[in-house]
Amino acid sequence: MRLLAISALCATALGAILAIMRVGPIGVLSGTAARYVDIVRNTPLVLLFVVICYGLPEVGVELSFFTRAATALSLYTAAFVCEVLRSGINTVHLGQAEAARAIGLTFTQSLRLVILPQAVRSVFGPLASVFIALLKNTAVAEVFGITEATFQLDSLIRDYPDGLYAAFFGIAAGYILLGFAISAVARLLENRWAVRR
Amino acid sequence: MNPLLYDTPGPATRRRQRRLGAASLLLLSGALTAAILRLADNGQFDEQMWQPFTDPDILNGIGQGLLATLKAAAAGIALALVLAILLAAARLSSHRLVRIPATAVIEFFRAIPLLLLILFLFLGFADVIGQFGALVIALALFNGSVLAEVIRAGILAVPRGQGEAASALGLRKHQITALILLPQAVRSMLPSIINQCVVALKDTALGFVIAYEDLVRTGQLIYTGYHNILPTAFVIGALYIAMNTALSTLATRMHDRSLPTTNGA
Repeated sequence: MRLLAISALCATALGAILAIMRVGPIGVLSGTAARYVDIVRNTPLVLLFVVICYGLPEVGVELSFFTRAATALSLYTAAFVCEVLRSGINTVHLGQAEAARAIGLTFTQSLRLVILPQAVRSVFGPLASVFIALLKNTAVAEVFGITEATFQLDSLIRDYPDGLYAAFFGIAAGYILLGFAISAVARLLENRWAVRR
Repeated sequence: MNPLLYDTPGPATRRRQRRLGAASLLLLSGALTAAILRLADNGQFDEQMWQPFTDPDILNGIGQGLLATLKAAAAGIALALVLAILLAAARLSSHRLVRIPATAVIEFFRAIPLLLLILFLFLGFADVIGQFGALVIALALFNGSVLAEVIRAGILAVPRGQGEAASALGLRKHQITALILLPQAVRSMLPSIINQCVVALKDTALGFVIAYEDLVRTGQLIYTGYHNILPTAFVIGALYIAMNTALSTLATRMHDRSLPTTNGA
């Protein structure tokens, strides 16, 4: 749970920065953001985990296991957050951007005051799917050593072989409940803030 | 991209943007150099780190791993597609007894982590289906449920007149779905379906928890033998990126091609 919350926060922040770089006028930055998203989206999360959890200590970066798992999850999820935000930015009416420029706002101002608030509100749904995917990806952290729900299944089964079904459905129910909670929050936010067009 | 977000820059702005661009380029390449130096300091570029990848046996092993990954992905996707079509049709059925179980199945398998499903199938039924079976069935169940939703959305997006015209011609309900709605739905949803294939291909990597000998697992075996995690991860990552980029490009091309026809269809 703590892993989920921290990774979600970092991924959102990093994803927002990437999305801004991506739509900005500076070629180098938008190119970098685009490459980053391409590479991360096409790499399995497991491989990223191998690099960060086993690879970093090799080059002398010593971090706690929790930090490393959170880093891997954040880096991975940020690429997806970036894509969602970018599509949100693209759905904002062109007239809004034009009007913002017409009243003399600069790029950062128009993005901060006009575009992003609308973009964020229109992507609550897709953003919730990204977080649900993140929730499920925390299971991957298990095999790299973090104690977490799926891991409990593993040890439970070793102790009580007959409890496999109970354990599986119990833990599945836990994930489903958390997933429902995330989409319920998203729906609430959507109803409250969504831009009506 | 989205050129309307900013004005066509004048000379002063262009100079400023070039300066900012140069500064960020400097910053990024500085970070990159620092990272590379760090790697070099720790001997990551030493010859013995990369040596294994010139060994034919190792290359052969990687090839086998690649093949295993592709095999699991292909089998998983094929099964998932069949399952998805059945589930989508069932969820759209007018009989409540068919619709409700299908909905439950879809929602259940979409909501649980794939890893959990793989572990469960492996721990519970390994004697019957083996590693490959556990991985493929888990992939099929998960991606089948996701794809079922994609196809359902595609069917609902087919203009209503199509179904009405078909029933006016006297086709039965299953004929309408199979002959009229499904082909159009699959066609319009092809890019999403291919994107889901990319996800499935990436997810085969989860097979390493049950020691299925795929690309990632092969990589693990290599670096436990030679202690060269980063070079191995680099090579394996490059392979995955190449495969998935090829698939994504295909999806984009399909998308561009299908655009004009979806309006008329």
